[in-house]
Amino acid sequence: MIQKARERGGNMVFNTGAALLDAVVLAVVSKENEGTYGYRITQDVRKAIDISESTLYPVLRRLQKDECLEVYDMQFDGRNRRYYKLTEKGMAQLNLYRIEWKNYSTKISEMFEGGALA
Amino acid sequence: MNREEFMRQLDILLVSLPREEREAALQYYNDYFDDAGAEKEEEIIAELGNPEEIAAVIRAGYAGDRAEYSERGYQDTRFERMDVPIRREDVRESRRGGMLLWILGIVLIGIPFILPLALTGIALVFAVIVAIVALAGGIFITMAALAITGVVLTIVGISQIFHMVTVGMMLMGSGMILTVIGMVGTVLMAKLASMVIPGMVRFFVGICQKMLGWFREKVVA
Repeated sequence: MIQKARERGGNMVFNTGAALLDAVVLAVVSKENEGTYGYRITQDVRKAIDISESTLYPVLRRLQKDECLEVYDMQFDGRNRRYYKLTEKGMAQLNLYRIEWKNYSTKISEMFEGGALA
Repeated sequence: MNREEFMRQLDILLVSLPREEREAALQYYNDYFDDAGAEKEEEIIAELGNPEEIAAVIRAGYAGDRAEYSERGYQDTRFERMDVPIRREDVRESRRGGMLLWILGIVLIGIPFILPLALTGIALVFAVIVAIVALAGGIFITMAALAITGVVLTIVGISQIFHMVTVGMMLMGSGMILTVIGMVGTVLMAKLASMVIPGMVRFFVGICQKMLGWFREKVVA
């Protein structure tokens, strides 16, 4: 699992909390104006966080219930594919996360700088 | 297990959910398999684990439980298997409990020794203080006696002057000197005692209190 994560470039050292996962999912979905679908979202999120296939669905479902994401179906290859798209509220939430992350990660980076073997 | 079998089992396991929820979940995973492509089917099934776990997570998510996510996968502590490593806090707790037991043991064993020693120490300090007070008191009384003697002598001297002048004068002189010495000594002693003795008593009481406090803290804590 760790080996695979390394190959994907994902993080395997620090645990990802639920909030950070939400934020990353929102960010990934926001990259596409017209939204994107489950499999793609999972692959993209995995570039940063090592998640298993089963992880994402509950998150997407919850974000949908919280009205941060909306879904629509579109025909693809002769079947219906479900797309997820950011709502206004989702956009606002994502921006909140962005600011929080900036503060938090700056502080952590400051902690790591200086000291032995800087 | 193959995809059809997996999805069929998942379908059954989600029967308790409202139709919309169930269909949404099934569609998601069907889409997932489709988008991944047939060649990834085995890999995905391996990673998904068994349908029971997936179904449980989906049900929990629907019920609004916030499962904790970590690198090991979407975890809900209710479904967590019991091979959780002992956390450091637990170890520290048990170690602290062990240390407390040690201290208690040492104190209990030590009490037969420590207690008499402590009491002896206190008694000693008390005795010293009493001795000092007695000494001060003795000197004070002596000085007072001296003064009184001096006065008496002076009076006797005065009375003797009328019989034998020289004797009378000598008695008077000695008497007056004694009186002065006695009075000065008395006053000095009183001053000294008033300065030193309260301090000593306070010191003694302080030690007693400190010992009581230490004792209470070690045993009750």
